[in-house]
Amino acid sequence: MSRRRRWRDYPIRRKLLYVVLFTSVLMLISTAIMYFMINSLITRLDTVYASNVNMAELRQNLDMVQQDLYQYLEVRDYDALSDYYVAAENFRGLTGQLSNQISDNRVFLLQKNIRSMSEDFLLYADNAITAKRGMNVEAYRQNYEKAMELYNFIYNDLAELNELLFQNNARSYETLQQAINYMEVASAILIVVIMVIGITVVVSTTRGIVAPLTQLSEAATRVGAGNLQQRIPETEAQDEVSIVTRAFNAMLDSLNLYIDKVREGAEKEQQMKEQELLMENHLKEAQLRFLQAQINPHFLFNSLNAGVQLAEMEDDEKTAVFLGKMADFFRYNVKKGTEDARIEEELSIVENYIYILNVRFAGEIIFTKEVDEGALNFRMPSMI
Amino acid sequence: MSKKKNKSGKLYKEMRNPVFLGVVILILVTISAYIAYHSILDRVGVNREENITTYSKHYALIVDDTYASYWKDVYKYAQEEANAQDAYVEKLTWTPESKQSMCDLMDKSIACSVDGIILVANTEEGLEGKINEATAAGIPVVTLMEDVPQSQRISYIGINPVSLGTAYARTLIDMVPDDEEDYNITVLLTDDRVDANQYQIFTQINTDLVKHDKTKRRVSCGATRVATEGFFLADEDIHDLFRNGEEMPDYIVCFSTSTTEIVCQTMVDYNLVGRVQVVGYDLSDMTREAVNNGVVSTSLVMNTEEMGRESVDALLEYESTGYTNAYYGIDLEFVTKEDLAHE
Repeated sequence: MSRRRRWRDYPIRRKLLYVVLFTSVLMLISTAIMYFMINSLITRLDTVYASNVNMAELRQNLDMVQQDLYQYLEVRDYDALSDYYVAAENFRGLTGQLSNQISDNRVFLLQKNIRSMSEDFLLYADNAITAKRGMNVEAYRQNYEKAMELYNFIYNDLAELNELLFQNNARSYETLQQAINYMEVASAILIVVIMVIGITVVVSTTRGIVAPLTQLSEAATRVGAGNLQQRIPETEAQDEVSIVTRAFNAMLDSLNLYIDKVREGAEKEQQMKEQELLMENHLKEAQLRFLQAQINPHFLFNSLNAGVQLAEMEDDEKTAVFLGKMADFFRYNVKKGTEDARIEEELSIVENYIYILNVRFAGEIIFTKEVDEGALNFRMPSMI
Repeated sequence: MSKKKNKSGKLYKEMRNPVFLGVVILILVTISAYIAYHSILDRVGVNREENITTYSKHYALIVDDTYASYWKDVYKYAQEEANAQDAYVEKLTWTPESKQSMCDLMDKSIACSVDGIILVANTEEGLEGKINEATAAGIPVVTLMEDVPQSQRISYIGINPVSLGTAYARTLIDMVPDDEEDYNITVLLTDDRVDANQYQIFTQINTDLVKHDKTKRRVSCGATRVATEGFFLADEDIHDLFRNGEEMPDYIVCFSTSTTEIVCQTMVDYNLVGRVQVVGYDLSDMTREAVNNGVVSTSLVMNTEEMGRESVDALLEYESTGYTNAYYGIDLEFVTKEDLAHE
């Protein structure tokens, strides 16, 4: 299962794109909402006084009906009659749009009353016309009086209704104007908030991108100054900056490793050199000792020879022989130290050595030899 | 516990995030603007149909506003009773300044095809005919406080004039001192028609005073007509009554709110407080103050709630059953200064 990709894993380009998209969408949504609300308020504003316009139209129609009715009843003008029918139809249509509900709202109650009275008015008007056409004077006069009575009621109620509507509409208009002002303020606040959000998001995102880069550059400067031990904190993100950071740290690790190897090599070389020097030193010492050793044996066996002579002077033959054999032994040792010797010479020195040992060990060492006479001149390494 | 801590810590971290905060603020501002927008539209749409209550019946209450000041209360109770029964009462008021007469208001109600009329009749000519016209159009009419007995009204809600006359007489008898002096009572009538309530009440007062041992032969009771048709005529009539010192009454009985108030002011103007005893009508603000100050000795108060509710009930009963009581009595009482102090 692949791990869900987090914000910090996105490449920088996509992050910037998302940030721009986010702020743009935010702005679009808020602006759209504000636009919708303000637009609907303005639309309402345009229609606020529509009801008063309708009342004015209704009153106008009522007047036309009454005038045409009067004209026909007075003069029997057939043009007036056709105008009356048209006006009456219009009036009927307009009053039909009024509310017919009994309600606790004065506006709707007035509409209901006007509608009801208008129906009766038209009924009496029609009856008056019918009576006029039927030459029934009394009837058309009565109907006309009744119609005029209703006309006055309707007219007064229309005036009251118009006044009420005007008051309501004026309040509505004022409220809508206030609302538009509030919306303007709200829009301004929204825009400011969106700007702040946008700037914050952009600053936050760019800081998230630039800060590691700054860290990296500072670290590179310190590396350049020689500090190879520092590390830039790594994250698990997979964006370019994190990749570079990890690469940088890896580079530092490699550098340190390389330096360690070089140092190790140098140390080893140093050690070898030291050893070489030591060896040389030892050799020199050995040579010196060797030289020293070479110098000292001459003194030793010269001294031994002096001792032989002294022993002879004292008539101590055994001591003289002993010291003589020792001098011979040491002389042979110095002489033959670095070269080979004949078997005969070696046998001679062994005999001297045995004589010396027997003096120390009171003759307890018995040395026997069996030598082929022909081998005596063969050469061999000395002092083995 | 550690998981919860981690979650709340994560949430806290998110909340500190300026983008998160900004988006939250943005959402809050948008929601607030939307709520404000809708509440404003609600205020704007006061005439929209969703803001109103509708009813199935429409009644008209036609009142002569000069008669009393309590019609506002009567209308309130009538409306309450009507609303509870899916009906609405529209109040049509006549005043001397009105362009439309009471008959015009009746015509208008008939033309508006109301379901019932509650009429507070006055002295206007033609009201009986209009009641009959309404009844013929299928609109039941009940009369309130002032009856038109010869008409085809279905019910009368108010006071039995004989009972009221007796109540007035009893009050006056209590007020008259128990001495040998003669006293004169004047009843101010706004309607002096013989068959009108006021006249019948006056007649009953007179009858009871004449019969009672305390008042017979020494207390006389007369009526004076106070004009109400034109502007300010009542005031002039009442002033005339007080200007004539010799014929000034010892007791005055008023049968309407306006005459009571005019009498109170006139008493003060002529410095007659205490000298002339007044039996008032209704308890308007001015009359209440007059009772408290002793300008008016007592005032007749109607049960306005009964008036409102009974008139609507009569119409409703008639509509549902086709019948109703011809008469609904209303409680009344005479209120004194002491009664007001106990309120």
